[in-house]
Amino acid sequence: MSENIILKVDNLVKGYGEGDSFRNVLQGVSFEINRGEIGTILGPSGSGKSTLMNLIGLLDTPDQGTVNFNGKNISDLSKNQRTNFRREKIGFIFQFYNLVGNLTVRENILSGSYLAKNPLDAEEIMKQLGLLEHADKFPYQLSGGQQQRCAIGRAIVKNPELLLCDEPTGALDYNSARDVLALLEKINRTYRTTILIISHNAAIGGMSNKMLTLRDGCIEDLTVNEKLTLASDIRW
Amino acid sequence: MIINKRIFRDFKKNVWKYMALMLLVIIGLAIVVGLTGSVDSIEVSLKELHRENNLEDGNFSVAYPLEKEKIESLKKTGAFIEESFCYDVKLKDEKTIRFVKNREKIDKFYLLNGRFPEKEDELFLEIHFAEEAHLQVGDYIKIEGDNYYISGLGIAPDYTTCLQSISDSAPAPGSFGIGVVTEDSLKKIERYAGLISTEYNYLFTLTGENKREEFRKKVENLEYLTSYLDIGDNPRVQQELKEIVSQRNISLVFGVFFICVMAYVLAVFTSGYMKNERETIGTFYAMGYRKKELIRHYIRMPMIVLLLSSLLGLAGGYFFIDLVVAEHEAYYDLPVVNSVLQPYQYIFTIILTLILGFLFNIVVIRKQLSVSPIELLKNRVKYHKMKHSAYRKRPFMRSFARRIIQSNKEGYLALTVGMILSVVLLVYGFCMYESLNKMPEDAVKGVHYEHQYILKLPENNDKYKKQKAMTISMNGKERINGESIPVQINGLEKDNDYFVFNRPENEKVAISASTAEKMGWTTGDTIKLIKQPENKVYKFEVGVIVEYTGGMNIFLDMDVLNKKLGYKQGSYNTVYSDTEMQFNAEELSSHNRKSDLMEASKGYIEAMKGTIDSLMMGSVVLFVLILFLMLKIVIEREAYHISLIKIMGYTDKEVSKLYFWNSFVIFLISMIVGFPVGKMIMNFVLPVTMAAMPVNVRVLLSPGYIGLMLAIMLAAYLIIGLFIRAKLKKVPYTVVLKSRD
Repeated sequence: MSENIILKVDNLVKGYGEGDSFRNVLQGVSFEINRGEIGTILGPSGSGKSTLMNLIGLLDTPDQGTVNFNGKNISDLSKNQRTNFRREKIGFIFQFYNLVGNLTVRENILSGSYLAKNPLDAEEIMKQLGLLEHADKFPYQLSGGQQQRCAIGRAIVKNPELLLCDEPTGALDYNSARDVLALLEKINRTYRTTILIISHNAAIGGMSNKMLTLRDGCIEDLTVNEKLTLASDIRW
Repeated sequence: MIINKRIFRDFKKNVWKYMALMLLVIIGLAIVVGLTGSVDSIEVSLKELHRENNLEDGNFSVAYPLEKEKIESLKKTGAFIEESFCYDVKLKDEKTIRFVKNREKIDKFYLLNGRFPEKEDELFLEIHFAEEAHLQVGDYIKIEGDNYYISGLGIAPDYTTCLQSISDSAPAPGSFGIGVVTEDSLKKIERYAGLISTEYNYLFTLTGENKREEFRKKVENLEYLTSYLDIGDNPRVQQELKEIVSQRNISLVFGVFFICVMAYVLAVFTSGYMKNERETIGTFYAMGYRKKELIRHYIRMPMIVLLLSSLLGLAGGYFFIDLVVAEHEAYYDLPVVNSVLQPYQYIFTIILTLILGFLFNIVVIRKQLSVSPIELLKNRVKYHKMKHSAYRKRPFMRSFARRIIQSNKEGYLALTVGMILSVVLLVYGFCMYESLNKMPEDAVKGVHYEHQYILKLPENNDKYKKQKAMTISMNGKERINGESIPVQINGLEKDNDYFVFNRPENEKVAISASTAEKMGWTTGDTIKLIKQPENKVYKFEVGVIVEYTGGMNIFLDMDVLNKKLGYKQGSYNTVYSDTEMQFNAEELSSHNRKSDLMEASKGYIEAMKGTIDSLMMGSVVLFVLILFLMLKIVIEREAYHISLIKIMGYTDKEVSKLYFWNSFVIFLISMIVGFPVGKMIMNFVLPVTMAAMPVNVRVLLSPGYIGLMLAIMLAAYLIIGLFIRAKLKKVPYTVVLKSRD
């Protein structure tokens, strides 16, 4: 495997349910992504996007297939090993921010900083994200865009190698969404963090190096973009 | 960990809930600490009294004063002997004072107020007798025309339970007390017309326990020996000590049970809290927080709540000690009691509470943290498999009510168990209350005489037809912990009219039902009893069980008993009567009235009043608090469903009815299960806690008390229901919208 490949997914199969209600959500998905790239996973509801991200993020285990990270198979790690892996290597950003309601912005970010051996400077992160003036506010005092920026700060303060974003703009208005995409682009440029974004919005694919489209658990299309669109130029 | 900052903020946000929980713990522990602390304080003070005032190792009485040579011969065993002759004088108001001279070495009197008598017309009175007669230091009391100046008030270390006769079950401070005078005064008192009995009593201390046997053998050989009492068999000293043991046992059992209930309630509380935290926990896992870190995070709050509550409970209990000690002081003769907390109470109140709280909560926390991150993030609640059923034909709300319980079996099971435990706690309090308060009634059940006269020495003549008996006290082993309990052996004349039950055949004995229950005896058993001072074992075969008082009594034919004891046929030492009789003071050992039996038993209840009332009221308060917390937790868990049916258009009234009905079903189940379980537990616990007492306490929970408990429970449920209804109204519609599923 090329040294540049950070993530390689090989023939992933995953099903849910019991008896008559069992169905395979992923039916043999394979792809790879290089270090420092932005990847987008597109597809309609029920296509298996979230399931794929959960398997990559070690929140779930595949029925078949492997997930390789930096050349190492991580899909058969024990529960504790998976937790440690997420702690050190992966950052998550959720659609509904998933901030801790009774911690301030600063504290939410520090809760991520606590986990890393060499975290980034929290104050610097807040400055970059435009959150310094809101540092002592609680999530309920922030707008959706501000909350998502706080969530991004919490994820990247760990300086993860891979950032997984599950519909990061799904709950935001148009302008806030574009701001968040611009931030992700900036993070990718500044820290060389590999970013994988799930979205149902095909326009986002323009800013990513690779676009994977899923339908019914299978890859419908895999596009490599030679020329990337800036986040600020994306329209939908 | 920065996330621990949430703990204080969560406390502030839910302060009323946590305060209710803490109040529950504080009240329960304060009751336990107060009750156990009071008896510990009394025990420490009594031990100090025994040491400082040189409590006897025993005493013996003879029909006539011993000669000097006899006393010297006894002293050769190394014993120290002090004469303490007692002169019982009946006053005009029917009260009796036992006059003794001041003691020099053994059983020295303890001064509470004033000073000891120095002159012939001065008197030191036993404290309770003085209080009942409204007498203080400086007052005068007229006895047989002589005016005595009350120089001091206090107690006798060998009369901490101030019994007139050692066969009495309880003191009667209104009618009997000790009066200490100078030796010169005693000569005057001997000539009083009201003198009803004289006891030539000698107190002794030994140089070592190994000398006891030798001393006892010498005393046994004394001519005209009327009684011998080792300190271990002396109810005047031992009764309070044994009652302390009982009270401590009752309180500790309540305490252990309460701590388990409280730990369970807290665990249910924690479980509810963790369920609301599912998404947050999932996020923590996704971020990379380890399970151990999250366990440490979530266990903090319950441990902080418990630690604070147990410290406050301990402190509150300490201040409660004085109140309970006062109850004992009203009944027993006690020295000044200083409040103490023994090391075991710190362990019990703080360590045990924390350990049990930790164990219960860690199970719940670990369970919640074992759910996969995916399940947590999606806040997916596991719905239990439900059978497809024909509920369609029923009204929706009724079907929905059933489905709610079925889908949240775990939560409703927790509620049911919590409610059952609180009902059991309530049964404990009420059962204890009724059982102990019925004791005075039991004390005179089956007693048909008004007066019982016990003579110093057996007599043999034709006097007192149908009134005679030979009574003697022996010791038997109590069934639960083998305690040595005094049992009265009543050898009855064949035609003694005062005992109206079937007499057994031949040489068998009849035993009272309470004796049978306490000692674990039944018909056909051969029982062994030990008579002091000889330490001789006597065997009796149980022929029949009869209804009689709560005291320990065995009945047999008088001449059968005489034969066993080596007395002549027809010998007696007890006379029963409906009216007062006159006996020579020299021949009479004691006079017991039927009315005194009940009064004495009531007095005993007075001493336990603090314990009994505290447990009963405490159990009611705790029941109400547990009910409130449990219902609150259920409503919070059901916020999603409540929000859903509100959105569908059901009114607040309809929603209230739905949840009121569901929780009422649980309430009924908890009563149906809790009552019999609680009674079963009490059937075991009460005899164990009262094992050391020389009476049998029946475990009672009558329909009247059950009705009272039901009324209290229903009233509590209805009142709390109003609060719950208000809470239901406040559940917002938006709870449903927050759930992404």
